[in-house]
Amino acid sequence: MRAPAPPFLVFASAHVHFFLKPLLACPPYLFSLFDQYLLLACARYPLRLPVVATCFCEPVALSAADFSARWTALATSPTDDPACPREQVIYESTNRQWGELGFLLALVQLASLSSFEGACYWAGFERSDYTFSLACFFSLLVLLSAARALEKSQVYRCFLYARLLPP
Amino acid sequence: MPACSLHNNHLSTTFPRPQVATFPARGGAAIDAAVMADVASRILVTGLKLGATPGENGAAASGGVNITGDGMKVPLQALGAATFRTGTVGANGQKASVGVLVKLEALNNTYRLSVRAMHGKISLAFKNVVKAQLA
Repeated sequence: MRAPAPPFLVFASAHVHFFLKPLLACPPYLFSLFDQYLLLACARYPLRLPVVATCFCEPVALSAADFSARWTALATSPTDDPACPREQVIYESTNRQWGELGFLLALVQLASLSSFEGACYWAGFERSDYTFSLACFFSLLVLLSAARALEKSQVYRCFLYARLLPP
Repeated sequence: MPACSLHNNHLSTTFPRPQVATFPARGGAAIDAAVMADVASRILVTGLKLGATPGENGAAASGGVNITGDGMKVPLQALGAATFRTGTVGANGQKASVGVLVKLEALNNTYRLSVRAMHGKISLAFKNVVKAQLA
């Protein structure tokens, strides 16, 4: 096995040289630091890779039966099973006027109302030409009240979708 | 006080929860039980901090020596499970965690890596990390 060519990174005060060796080839993953002001000083530190992905992991001890059961449960994506719809319309307004400004105002109002109630955590959103979607941990009551508040302006037509979280 | 983070295109791409990759071992070397046990111990358990799930005989890696009735060799297998702790705080104030299951199979000089998680992004990331160590 041939180790990949080490990349060379240059910082303002020091030259840092990484030796990334395959995990199977050699256990010590050496991180060598050469200080340009103290040329004789050379320190090597063992570094276990990969760092970023593993520092958030916590081992879970499962029996073979538990592993098999969970493995089967995760066989499909939530949207793959047509027999078990994960999304359904829980509220639909009667207003049918949409506009580019309407999307933004609706988004802002929904976000502000829910944030004001302190019951909503926005994880993100996506937009298309005719819809916008919000993903959040939400209080249904807060979102319903926000949608009805928007309807009073007779501008927006609101759909609220309930998406079931995976078991 | 709830956090408010709006990321455009946050949900625009979805990844399937099951992720599978088949690739030859690095250098084309044959994979025997000793190599598989070493991979399970050092890469999956020590490196990736997966909890080792015991196989048929209680070892970290199992299979490879059984011959079924039709003459097919059972691939070597290593299983692992972990909880991926994220920094995202949910509505209940707790940080969200995502369960991850990893199944690594090897036959001759080829690995078959299967990763399943509660979220497709985690599956994809784990698959890429493990594959980068073995391929």
